[in-house]
Amino acid sequence: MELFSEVYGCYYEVVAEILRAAPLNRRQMEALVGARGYGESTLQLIPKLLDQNAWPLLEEREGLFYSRLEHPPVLPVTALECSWLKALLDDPRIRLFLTDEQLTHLAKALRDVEPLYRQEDVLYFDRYLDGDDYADPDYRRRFQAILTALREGAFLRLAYAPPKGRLRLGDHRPLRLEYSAKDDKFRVYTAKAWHRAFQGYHVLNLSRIREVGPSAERYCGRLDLDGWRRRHRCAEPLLLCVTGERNGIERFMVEFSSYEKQSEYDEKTKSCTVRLWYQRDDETEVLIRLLGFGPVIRVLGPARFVELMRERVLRQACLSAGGAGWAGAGPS
Amino acid sequence: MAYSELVKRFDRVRDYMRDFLIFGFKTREDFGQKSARTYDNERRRIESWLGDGLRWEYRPGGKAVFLSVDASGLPSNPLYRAWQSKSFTDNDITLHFYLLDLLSDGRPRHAEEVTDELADRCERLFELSTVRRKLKEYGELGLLDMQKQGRRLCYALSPCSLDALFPDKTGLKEFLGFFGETAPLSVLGSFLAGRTGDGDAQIRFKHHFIVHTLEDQILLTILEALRAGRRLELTNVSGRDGRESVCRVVPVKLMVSVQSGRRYLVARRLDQRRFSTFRLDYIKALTPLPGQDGDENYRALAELRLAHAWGPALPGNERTQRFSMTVAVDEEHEPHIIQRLHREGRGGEVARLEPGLWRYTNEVHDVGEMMNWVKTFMGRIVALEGDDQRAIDRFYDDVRRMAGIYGGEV
Repeated sequence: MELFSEVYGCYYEVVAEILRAAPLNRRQMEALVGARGYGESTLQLIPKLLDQNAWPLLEEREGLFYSRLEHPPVLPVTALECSWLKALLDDPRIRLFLTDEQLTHLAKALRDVEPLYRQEDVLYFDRYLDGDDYADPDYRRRFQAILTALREGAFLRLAYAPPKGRLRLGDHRPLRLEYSAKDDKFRVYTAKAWHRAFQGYHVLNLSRIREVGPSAERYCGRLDLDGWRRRHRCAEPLLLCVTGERNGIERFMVEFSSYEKQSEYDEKTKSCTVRLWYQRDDETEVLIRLLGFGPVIRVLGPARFVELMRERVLRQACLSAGGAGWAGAGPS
Repeated sequence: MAYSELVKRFDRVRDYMRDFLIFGFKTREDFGQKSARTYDNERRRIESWLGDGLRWEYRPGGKAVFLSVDASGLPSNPLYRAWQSKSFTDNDITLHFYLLDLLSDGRPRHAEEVTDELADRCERLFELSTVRRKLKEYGELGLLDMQKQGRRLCYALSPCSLDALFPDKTGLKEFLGFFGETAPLSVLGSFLAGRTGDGDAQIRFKHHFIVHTLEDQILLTILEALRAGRRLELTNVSGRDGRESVCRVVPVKLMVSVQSGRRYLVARRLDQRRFSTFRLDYIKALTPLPGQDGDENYRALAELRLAHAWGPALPGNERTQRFSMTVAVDEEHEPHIIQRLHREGRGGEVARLEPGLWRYTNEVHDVGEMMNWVKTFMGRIVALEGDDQRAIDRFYDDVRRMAGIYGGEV
């Protein structure tokens, strides 16, 4: 089956939107195309739409453009989309988002559809083994309570068990969920408040939330999670030299493609200089992933990060030479 | 021909987008096999689809265009926009809207009826053969239901809408927002989400390889072949020298690395009578072929071999190699190291030898594949033992070289 089809296309989507919203004046149409189309769609799509010999879908009356269709446009769910949805019915994570009633209805509606794939067709071979337990009914209940609060902008009373220390009770407003395919875990970003005073942003592992209850807490101030995340970005980017040995450049570039980075290739040395930005919380993870590349990558800066690499490498060199290099000081 | 934002074939832009995102250092001259005008047009298109996401910088070798994004901050994959750029004719779009409008009353019609009624409605004459072709195409896509009435084939709008599938829409936005980024062929979720008109589901994705979507057509053909028990003729481009090769395979499984960002097709290569792995981003084309009796046996054999596979490579025989790593751990302050051995060790055994000393043991087909992971424990590895001494020696050699790089005594 063909995935690249105009029925899923941006232009079809935008034109359907215009036909649904009609009557519109030209400026309104341009605004809609500007918001939903590509960068140059206003120049390419509008003239076609206004040309009766090209796309005779609108008619003009007194400066307004009316749809010539009898009904607002609809696009049924395609066979490919149905078989994709059917495959998802076997994914345990679907139960986090939909209720049993919704799932029963969906399964019934798709009973004659072949799933696009079976779960066993795809193996995530290096996924961590201690992922969240999606089959746990309590996990599902807590997840759905958080999802509802996220949608409604409400606070919840959460009991959280941090890796170290005692259970903590607090009133949190869920702001965003985050899923890691590597960890197979969900985290929730929250804003904590106490007596209507903001107590900071928190990142909580869903599996460590032991109980969820209603909360009467409120906070009416401005929240800026993106700004907070920006402030938690590394102060300066890592400066790396990646060599072509063992296909290092390609391996590194693909593995770190989810990070913000800038690279420059030096034909003479056949190596690449890369500036890489990361969230400060992820520093240890970045460090050990770079260690995994061995001598293919050299960290050039900042000095503090070079020192972290150096410390581990020299400790290992000492251990490898039979010395007592390890002193229990490493964070991971 | 005048420049257009839309393209006829997706593979025309696939390589450019991959290079802009993955490498980001190539200049126009590095795309030497294409003409400068082709490069300029493709760059302009991608710029138009991605907006501010695409950036450029002057480098010694020329202007380098790159896509630099922190994927963990994105509400949705910006590369999906490329999948919505298929070009079409004036007739295609006119027919699309009038046809679905005509059939939305639920009454089935045959091709002649549709052609006549369309002429009345849109004051444009469509040839019967054109209408027939579009009806057939939309029937195959599932937009129209087909039913025989006497000797004639009639068409009606499919009743399968998002409203019919989800009468209660609670959670639908988050459901599509999540699986529209994480499931295989996730771009389909974004198509569906586009129809709901809902905004940001406030779900983000860490360790997220947005580049994967560029291989979604390849992935779709593989999934369909797996489902239908088909074989595939596969055109592969070597990552090393760019040479193309064609072979016939029985597809067995998709292997996804959530850490390195690579995805592989594991398949029985019929000409070499062994299992091979093909990176999805190196597969240029696939042609489905009929399956044959006995192909299921390859799949069963692959499952057996996968039990001892560390990575995607499957060996020709069942021989395994023993490997163990002993690490020093401060148990009081570093319990997460022991946790790492358990969760990242892909089923290996973890045992405490003595206070502060833990051993990880596994039996795998290829110890060499494990060594990148082993190196992440650098600084606390007390001993490595096993059947593949070459892989172990290479680790120690790497440590020596790294010590040299970072200024230690070698």
